Amino acid sequence: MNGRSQVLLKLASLALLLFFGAAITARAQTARLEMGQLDRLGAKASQSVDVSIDERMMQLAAKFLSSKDPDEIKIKEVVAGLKGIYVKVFEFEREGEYTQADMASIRSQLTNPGWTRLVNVISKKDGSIEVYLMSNAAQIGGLVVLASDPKELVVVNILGPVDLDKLSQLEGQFGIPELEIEVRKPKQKN
Amino acid sequence: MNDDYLWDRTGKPDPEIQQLEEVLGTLRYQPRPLAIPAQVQSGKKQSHFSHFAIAAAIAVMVFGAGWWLLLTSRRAVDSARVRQTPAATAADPASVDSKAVGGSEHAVRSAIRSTEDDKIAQPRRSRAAQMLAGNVSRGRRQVVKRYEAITSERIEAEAAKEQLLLALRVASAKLSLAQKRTQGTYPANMIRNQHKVG
Repeated sequence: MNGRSQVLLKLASLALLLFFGAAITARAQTARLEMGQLDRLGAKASQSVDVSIDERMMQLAAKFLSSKDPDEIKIKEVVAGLKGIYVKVFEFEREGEYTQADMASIRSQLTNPGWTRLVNVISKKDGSIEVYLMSNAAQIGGLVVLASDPKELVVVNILGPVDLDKLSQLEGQFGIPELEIEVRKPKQKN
Repeated sequence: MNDDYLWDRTGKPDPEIQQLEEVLGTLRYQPRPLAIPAQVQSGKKQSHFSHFAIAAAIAVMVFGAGWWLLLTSRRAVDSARVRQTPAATAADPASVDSKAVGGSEHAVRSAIRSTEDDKIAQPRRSRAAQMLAGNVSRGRRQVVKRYEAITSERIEAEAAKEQLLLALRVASAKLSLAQKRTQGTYPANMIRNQHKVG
């Protein structure tokens, strides 16, 4: 192998390395979770919900939200900057239909840089609930809620800047329960 | 001076008057038949009028033929719509048989002849009918396509809206649950005390 071939081989290797590096970085930076591995649970579940709304669908849905109805205006504001919402809910009749490996496949993706776990509540009786936020610089890039109890598994993945204040304004609308996430005033000491 | 020559050409001729006579004599009246110049043609206006009349007659005939063709084609389209079968059934041997049922050989021949005439006339009529029907159906197809596109987009948007509301419902319910359970676990409220746990 002559010198020129060696140089070409090195350049090609470098280009491949850069390409894969960029791909891995891009994959790590995106707030979108890979949830396809959970689909097999649909066969075991007594009830399941699978919602996939990408940016196009989000814009389409937002277009059909009324600009006069105050409730729908608030919904519009909440979803305005979002890039997508993906939800998977599995309800089982018996316990132990899903395994910790299923949960681990999701959790492993949340160890990527950028993700921050805000809430981690573990209860053997009531199950666990975890809330993760992805922050890009000063802005929230995405949200993940991972909730599980013996008969239920829920994964919520919201892409884009989630405004918790605006989300809190959806309380009680369209059947959305009150979130009670407003900052409360500290109680005055007697 | 004797002026008789001047009045009735008697007496002594005056040379000056004679000279004048010679000069002006060339202009005297000379009887000759009326000659019509070659470029002037009698009845030219009439000729223009006849051309115009011929052109008008042709135009009327063309317009009439077009009108008749349009009426015929419309009738053909209407009948095609009513039957929803092609008009070619008239040329079918079966129809010839049906025409000739109970008739003589002459009747059969005349039926065949009329069917052949129909075959010749049919393409002319059907071409116009096809053109008209093609235009109508093309326009209708475009309207239907546009309507279908709008309808499908609306259906898709409604479905997306429903899904969006469902997703928000689940997300907010789980966030609310996290909030409540966190408040039960930790003394202060969750949002104010956000910090990196993992």
